[in-house]
Parts: sequence; structure tokens; C-alpha cells
Amino acid sequence: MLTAADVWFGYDERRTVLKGVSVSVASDAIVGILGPNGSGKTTLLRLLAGTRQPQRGPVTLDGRSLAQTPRAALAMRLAVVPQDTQLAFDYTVAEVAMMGRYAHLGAFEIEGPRDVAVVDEALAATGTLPLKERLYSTLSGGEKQRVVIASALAQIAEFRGSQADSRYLLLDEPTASLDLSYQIEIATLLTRLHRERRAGIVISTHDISLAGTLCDTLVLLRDGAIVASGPTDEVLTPENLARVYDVEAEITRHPSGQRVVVPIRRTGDRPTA
Amino acid sequence: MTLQRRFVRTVAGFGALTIATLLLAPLVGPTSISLRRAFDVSIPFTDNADAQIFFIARLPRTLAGACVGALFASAGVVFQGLLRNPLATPFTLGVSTGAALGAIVAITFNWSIAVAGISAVPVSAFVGSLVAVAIVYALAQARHRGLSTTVLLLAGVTLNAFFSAVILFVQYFASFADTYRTLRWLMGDLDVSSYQPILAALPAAIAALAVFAWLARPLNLLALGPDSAESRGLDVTRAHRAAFLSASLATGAAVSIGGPIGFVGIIIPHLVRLMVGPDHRLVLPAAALFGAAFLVGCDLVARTILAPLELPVGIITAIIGGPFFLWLLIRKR
Repeated sequence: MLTAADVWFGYDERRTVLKGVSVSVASDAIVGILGPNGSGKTTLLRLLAGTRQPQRGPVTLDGRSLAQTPRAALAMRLAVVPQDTQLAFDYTVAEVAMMGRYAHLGAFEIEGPRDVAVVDEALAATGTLPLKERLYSTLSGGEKQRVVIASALAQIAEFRGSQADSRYLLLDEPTASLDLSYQIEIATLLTRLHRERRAGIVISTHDISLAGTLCDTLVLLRDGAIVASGPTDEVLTPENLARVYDVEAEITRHPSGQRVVVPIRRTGDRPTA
Repeated sequence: MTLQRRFVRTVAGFGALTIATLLLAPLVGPTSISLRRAFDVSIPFTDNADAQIFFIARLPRTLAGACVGALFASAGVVFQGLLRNPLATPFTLGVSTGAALGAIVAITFNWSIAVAGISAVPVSAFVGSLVAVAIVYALAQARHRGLSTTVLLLAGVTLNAFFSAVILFVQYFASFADTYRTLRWLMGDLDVSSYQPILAALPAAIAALAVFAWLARPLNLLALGPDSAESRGLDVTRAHRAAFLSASLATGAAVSIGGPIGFVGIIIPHLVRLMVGPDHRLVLPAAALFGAAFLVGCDLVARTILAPLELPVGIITAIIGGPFFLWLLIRKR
């Protein structure tokens, strides 16, 4: 269980980004974090990943505080996929995926056949094995995103310690910069990975329909505080969307079973972007 | 091919080039010498002109070139990885000039006293490079996302202008003879004429290269950006500090031997990446070896092209490096 209990955080003293947020992610859950720009979604993800420490309130992994856990031990159980990843130099797809194995190797240790096998398997799981020798910079947006997901899978695969330890994949707006077909591709991939790998998944997203279809639990954030959280069916209501986005919306189901959110008009007086 | 095999091939290839250059360089010069005579111990050293030229003029100069080239090239790799920008080098960041200021202060005010066996020039050069690096570090921290090329180049121009002005100010207090000596040194000159500057800089050089070896894997991760590197298990703050400190140490050591020789830190890393790819575990050793061979080769040209006149090697590296740098700037998206 990955838990944030009443956490507070600000990048500087003037502005508090998160004001007493509590989230629990079970090891078999897909949790969606929704909210307008600047509501603290990405920050919450960083706290859950342990790359930032909350000023107040602990974030714990199976009861143990992230701040007290060594970085490498944490990396073997929590992997992050940022919105987009730009490299400073021209690494190949295989090299990028191998970067996920950093925490598994000693300071001067060179990756062995086992690491290569893990990376190949992760690339295959995301359908990027044929791109292995390509330069990362020459890939399309969707391919890049899948390679970074493969790197994250290689990171949390085959961790030292007991097999019962839960693992988590944290994705920051995984479909934000992708076109429609890649969005479907990533959504399908995440559903499959969740089923096959039994890792807990946390997604921050603007895409309410995606979250409604993919996630079993939703957290709605506004101005750094939780407006509603719980099972998707209970949270995804027109009332809650109005409270979070100041938008009147209708929620229907498509014959395929997918939720469709239809925004109708603005209701509040949020400043125009 | 596995990394082990690529590593062995890379080190063997560049190592052979470096050794060949090191063997060739002391033999070439305006005066031709006989190796047999130079190594003939039956002739007293004071009467053996060949041995004097070999051991006092050419060998220290060659070794100085190798050390300085290796240090500037590998420090360039570390600065580029750290700032995530292929145009960052000790020279373009103003770190070399900071080190030069430190060294010149020590030379001009004749701080010849060696504290606890450590001579003042390399220490003073290290302090100078550390000041410059601290300013760059503060700039990079203030802009979370790393330095853009524009900010980086502007910061380098500003620091270079500032430190150059202070160098002129210090020169104002020096005698005419001293001024000529330091001016020539500022052009980047490997005419050390003794082993003393090399030995004085050696501890710092070895320490820096040892940290570089540890930094190879962290630098690969930093290419993803600090947040991604941290989430993959790297202590980013520690890696940043280790990189800044060791790269300043290397720059200080190199400048204390040969002065602020420019462009080695950009030409070599770039060519090496074209040949072995971006993995720092290959790039760092390859750059150190290739940098050594390159600078010794440039110095060979500097010594012979207008013989018997000997040019400062910094002029040669600048003539090659200036156009190279412009080409990189134009090509960059």
C-alpha cells in the first residue's frame, strides 16, 4: 500500500501547492488523479514517488516512510513516467531502457545477461523491441512514451527482496502530448500491464474519459486540496465535475461500455486561460 | 556487443593512438636527436646535449600535453553531462579563466611557499575554478530545468570578461618581464621545461579522474533530467556536487600546468561521441585518451610549423576549435 496521509507541500514559502492531501493506492489498484492546471497533480505524483519530501505528513510504502527508505530500494518498487522525456544526448532505445536498471547494479557494476533479458522483456511488453537499436530522438511521441514505460518496467522488475513486495508505476499525463491513436494505444497498454504485472498504477491526467474507463479509483484535486475521492462510479458525477472544473457536464455511457464525458458550458467565474 | 567488449575495444583503440603519439612526439623537433645517445648513461648528463633536449625540453612538454589534454577533454564531458548541454566546457563556461586568474595571482605575487608539500599555483588555480563553477552552479540551480544554451553562453561570456579584467588588473602590479611570461602562459603554453608543474598538479588530477570514473553511470542517468534520474535511484544532489567539484579540480590542475588552453573540452567529447556513442562509461575514458593524443599532436604542430619559432599550443587549438564550435552552434536545432 502506497499512502500519503494529510501531506502538505510547497516549492517555496510563498505558495503552498498541496494542502492536506490523503491518498491510498492499493497494490492492485489503478488510481486516477484529476484536476485543473496547477491543482497539484504532478506535485502529488512527485511526493508519491519520493522525489520530493512533504513538509508535513508522511508518505509511506507498506508502512515505511519514503524519506527513511534508501533511494535505490525505493527505485526498485516505485517507477515514474514523466509527461515527456527529452534526452541530452543521442542514446539508443536499448540504452534508455537499460537506465531503469541503475538501482539494481553496484557503483562500478556492468549490466549482465539477466539485466539484458529483463530489458528485452520490458521492451517486448510495450511493443518496442523492434526499435531496440534505433536512436530515441528519432522516435514518434507515442513510441518514446512506450520506451520510457519499458524503462520503468525494467526498473521495478525482479527486485531484490521478497516477491510479495508490491510495486507501483506512476504516470504523469501519459497521453497529454499524444494524438488520438497513440492515446488509445497507451490506454490499452496500461490496462494490459496492470492485468499482467499486478503493479499498482497511479495516473495524473486531464483526460476524464480515459480516467473514467481505466481507473477504479479517482482523486479530484482543486487548488491543492481533495474535492472528492473514492470509487470511480461514485466520484465521477456532474456535481463533482462542476465543483472541480466549474463546468456543467453530462456523463453518459457509450454502447461499448466506455464512459463519455460531455462538457456543456462553463458555470463558475474561473479566469479565462 | 556487450559493454565489456566495447569498453576493451575503445580503451585499446584510443590507448594505442595515445601511446603512439607519446612515443613519436619527443623525437620530433627543430633539432634532431639520437635516442641511443639520449639514453647512453656512459656520457655525463651535462655533456649529453641529446639527453638534455630529450629529458628537459621535450619529455616534460609531451607529458604536460598529455595530462592537460586528458583533463580538459574529460572535464568537458563531465560539464556537458552535468549541465545537459553539449556546448558546456571549462573554457566556454569561464571556469578556465577563473582558474587562470587564481594561477596568475599565485605567480605574480610569487607565492612560492609550498604548504604541507602542496605548491601554491595548482591550489590557487583550483580556488579560481571553484569560484567560477560556484557561479555557474548557482545559475543552474536558480533555473530548475537546467541551463539553456543562451544562458550558458552568456554566463560564460560574462565570467570570461570579468575574470580577464581582474587578470589585467593583477598584471598592472607585475614587472615587465613577468607580464611577458604570464601573457605567453595565458595563450596556453606547454613549455614547462621541468617536471615540477606536472608533479604539483598530479594529486588533484588523479583525484578528479577517480571521481570521473564513479560519475560515468550517474551522468548517463542525468541525461534523462534530474527528476527522472532521481526516480531511478540516483542521489542527484550528491552527483551534481561530485561532478562540479571534480570538474573544477581537473580544470584547476590542467590550467596550472598549461594555462587556459581552449576548445579541447568541446572538440574531443564531440568526436568521441560520434565514434563510441553517448554512454559515459565509454565516452570518459575515450575522451581522456584521445584528448591526451590530440593536445600532444597540436603541440607538435605548434613546435614545428614555424620552427625554430615555438608557438603557444593554445593558438593551434583555437584555430581548429573556433570554427568547430561555430559549426556545432549552427548545426544545433
